[in-house]
Amino acid sequence: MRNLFTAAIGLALAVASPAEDYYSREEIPLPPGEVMELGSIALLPEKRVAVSSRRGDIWICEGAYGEDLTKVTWKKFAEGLHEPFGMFWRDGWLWLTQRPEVTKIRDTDGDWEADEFVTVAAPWGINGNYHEYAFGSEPDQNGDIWVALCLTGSGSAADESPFRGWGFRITPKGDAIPVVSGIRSPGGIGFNAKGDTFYCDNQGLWNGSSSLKHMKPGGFMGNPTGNKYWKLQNVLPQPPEPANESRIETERKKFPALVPPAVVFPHGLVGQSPTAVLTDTTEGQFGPFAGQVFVGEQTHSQVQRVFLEEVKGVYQGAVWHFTEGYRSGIVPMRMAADGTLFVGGTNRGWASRGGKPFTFERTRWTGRVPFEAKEMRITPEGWELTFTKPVDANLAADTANYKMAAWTYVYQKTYGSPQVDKVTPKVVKAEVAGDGLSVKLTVEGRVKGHVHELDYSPLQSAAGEALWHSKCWYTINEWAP
Amino acid sequence: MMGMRIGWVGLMALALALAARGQDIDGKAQYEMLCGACHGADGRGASAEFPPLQGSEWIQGDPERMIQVILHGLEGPVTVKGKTYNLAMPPQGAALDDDQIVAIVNYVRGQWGEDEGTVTLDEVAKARKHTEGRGEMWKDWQLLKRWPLPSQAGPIKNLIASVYKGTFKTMPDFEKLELAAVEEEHSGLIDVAQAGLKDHFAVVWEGDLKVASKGRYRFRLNSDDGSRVFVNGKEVVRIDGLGPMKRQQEGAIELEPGIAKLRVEYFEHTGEEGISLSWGKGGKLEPLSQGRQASRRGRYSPHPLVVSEKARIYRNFIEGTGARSIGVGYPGGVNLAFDADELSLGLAWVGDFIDAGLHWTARGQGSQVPAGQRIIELGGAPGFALDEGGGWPTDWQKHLTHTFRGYRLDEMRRPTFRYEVGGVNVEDKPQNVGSDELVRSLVLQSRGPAELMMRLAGQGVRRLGSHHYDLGEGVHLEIAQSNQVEPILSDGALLLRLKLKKGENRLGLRYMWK
Repeated sequence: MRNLFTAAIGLALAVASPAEDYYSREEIPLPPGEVMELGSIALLPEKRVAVSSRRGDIWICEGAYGEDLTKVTWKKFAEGLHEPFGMFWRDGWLWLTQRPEVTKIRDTDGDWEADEFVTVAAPWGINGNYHEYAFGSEPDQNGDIWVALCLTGSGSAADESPFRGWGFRITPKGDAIPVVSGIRSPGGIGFNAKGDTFYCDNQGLWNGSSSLKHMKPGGFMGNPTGNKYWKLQNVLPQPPEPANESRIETERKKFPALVPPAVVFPHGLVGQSPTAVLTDTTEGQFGPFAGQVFVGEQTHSQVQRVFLEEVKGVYQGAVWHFTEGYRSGIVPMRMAADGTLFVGGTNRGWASRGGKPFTFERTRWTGRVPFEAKEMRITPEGWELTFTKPVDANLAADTANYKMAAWTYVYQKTYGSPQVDKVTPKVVKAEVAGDGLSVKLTVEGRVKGHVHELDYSPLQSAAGEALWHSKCWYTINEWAP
Repeated sequence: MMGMRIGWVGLMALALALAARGQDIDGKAQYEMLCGACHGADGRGASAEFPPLQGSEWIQGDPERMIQVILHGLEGPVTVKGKTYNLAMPPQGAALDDDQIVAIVNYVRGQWGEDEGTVTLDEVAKARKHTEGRGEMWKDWQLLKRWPLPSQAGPIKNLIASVYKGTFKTMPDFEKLELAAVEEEHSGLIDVAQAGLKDHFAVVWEGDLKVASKGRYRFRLNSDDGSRVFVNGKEVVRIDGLGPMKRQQEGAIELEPGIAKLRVEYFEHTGEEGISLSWGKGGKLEPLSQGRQASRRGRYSPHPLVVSEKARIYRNFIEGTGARSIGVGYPGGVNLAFDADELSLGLAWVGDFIDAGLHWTARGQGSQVPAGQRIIELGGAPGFALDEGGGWPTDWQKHLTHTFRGYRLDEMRRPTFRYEVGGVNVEDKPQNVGSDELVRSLVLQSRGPAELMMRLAGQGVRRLGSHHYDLGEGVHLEIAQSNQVEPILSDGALLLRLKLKKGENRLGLRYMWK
């Protein structure tokens, strides 16, 4: 009787709180009258924040961390830049990656208007095609900037614009070292907690679905369109020419340089245009996901959360939905040390769920911990799923509460791919840890190279809370040793 | 009054009792009885204060958004079809049972939605459980956070546009062409403007059409220049050759319910361009393309960059100079574009600076023509070379190092371009004098004595005096005389032999619009 009674209570309580209970979303007023389609955000000393627009302006604001956002003030720092996507502050300079080059900019006379524009490096070509975007990172652990270069028109590689589809590492002195080939259409670039570089590549030619890719030095990211430029450099060997209408898993066996997508974002289910990449290094200021990666999503106006692990030297992991409802298509993001996530957006030319043409917003953790699966770690038998709060052990031990599906995509030169090679893995055992914070799943029917959808929606916390998000997608590139 | 009230409640109870079998409930009757008073029997809103349901984005996509509004009501401002309403819809969750909600939702979505799926009793029960115990009405942003509106997309799903460049007078064989660009078009509509090209291109659009019922579907096509429509791999209608949008054609095909694969091929030679396509089974055809107004070439809002007291910089694609050029507009109406690849003055003109509207609209495709007049094109090849005999090199000589280093702005925001060629550091500062002169002062720092060739103009130059030339468009160039510069006119191109000494060397160039 008692069990039945608690179960009924549990049921009544199992109402997932709305997202705003966990993470706030506030719009930061932009300079009045200005069209600020944000392409980059940089955090400056003294709690100033700089943003760059696709029109080529840079503005700096004060008050973006403040409680009262009506007090935000703006000052125009520069104009006339060429669609910058990636900006940071270092040693008195704003460093930015704009379409033609990596540039550092500063103000020398103290009026907060830039007057010195130094071209740091311009190792790639542009030919007048609007799609030849360049996305630049913050400095890596050596102080170098990583740049991911979109293909010409996102589908070709013009002779007069070398190194489309390649990635470069650019030292502070301006030396440019080719690091990867095989990029299609990046949307953002950043680092994981370890300091390795990742970018988001968008669904399209040779990309069955969008994904987070590891820019492993010397690696081939999968799209051979820009391979022809390899003769123009002497750092990397000739990139592979994969077979059309194959599978990544098949081609990997032939070409060790091919780096499989670390985490596939199934098209439509997770998003449609992934963008910014950053890691929560705030050690808890942003909630229970310290050390994890967050990515922006332009079309769906969302932020998503990624758990990454390195297995046999190859990255893989899982993606969850996180926050949503942003007012425009998310492109740049930056997280401040106090746990403020700054999010910027634009939907000019590419529509988004958030219907505003541009936006600047911030998201903060409210201090309430959502009941959420936190990590999904591969094991020889299946996965270990960890949680932000102890799970209801009865529900979590019932294998009927886990539903799985798995598939992959055709690796091909045409645009995108349907889900193919579908299988239905089965959770056959679920062992709940004594502290209730993790569950070991034994799964039959996993497939290497597939993305695995796990739906665990019936689970509840020990206190009867429902999950905030109840599905995730794990990409297996390697088996657990 | 009391009697009235009891009567109403009694009626409700009766209605509920009669409706107990769920699936048999007449959604139309329920809607008209319970919702029609405000939203109108025709779904257009009973008056201007009430939001319409007909064509409303709120009833489309995930049905739970609408179910939640019915269950818990909605208060505060809400925007529907671009108009904001501010009333409260009272919660109906306690008054209606799940069967009624299913009937109403399916009626509304079926009648006024965009091909929405049917809602089941189970979904309504689940929705009810999701927000059980909610004691207050929804605010629009709370709903939109959890159940965002579907994007306002056209009828073609998974639409992909592949763009090709070339000179076509008939439909090309796309298999043999190299792709110039490929895009996912979330608008769900064919739009030639998205190609961002005006002449000499072709586009293939591919996507899915949802066929609701079996039948013969008509496709109406019009284009400038040629086009061809395939459905499920079969050609349905075509317009051959060159010509304006006055050549409407229609074709038809039998389709089964489900997904039909649409492929539209199109090419444009020169002049105006456009394509219009619509489809349907009955008399009324639904557009599959962006309206002709929207797809007209050059339809961007003008955004002239006005130069007032200080100079302005515009870095984007400018017609007639290299892609890595930096446009500068000076007060008084003298303008230039410095080519950071060629390290040379690429363009100069007088009058208005530039219209940024092209690049600040949609994806910003294409190169913008300067807004002013008397444009002279001076670039097209490297700005410097070593004298090795023969003609001017088309690419940078391999052993001649060259680097663009950026620019500094003075208090009037006029840039000094900085670059290095063959070990010589150059500071190149152009300034306007009034509204018809441009003076370029170059300081060249050389580590030792050096000889370097500089290219000032590429073609059509006429000699007027020993250091005085006509560059075309009535623009004269005067080269400051010194024993370090020797002008050379070779095949109409104007070159300077620079005989540099160690340390600082100066060069003055004066461009005059006569």
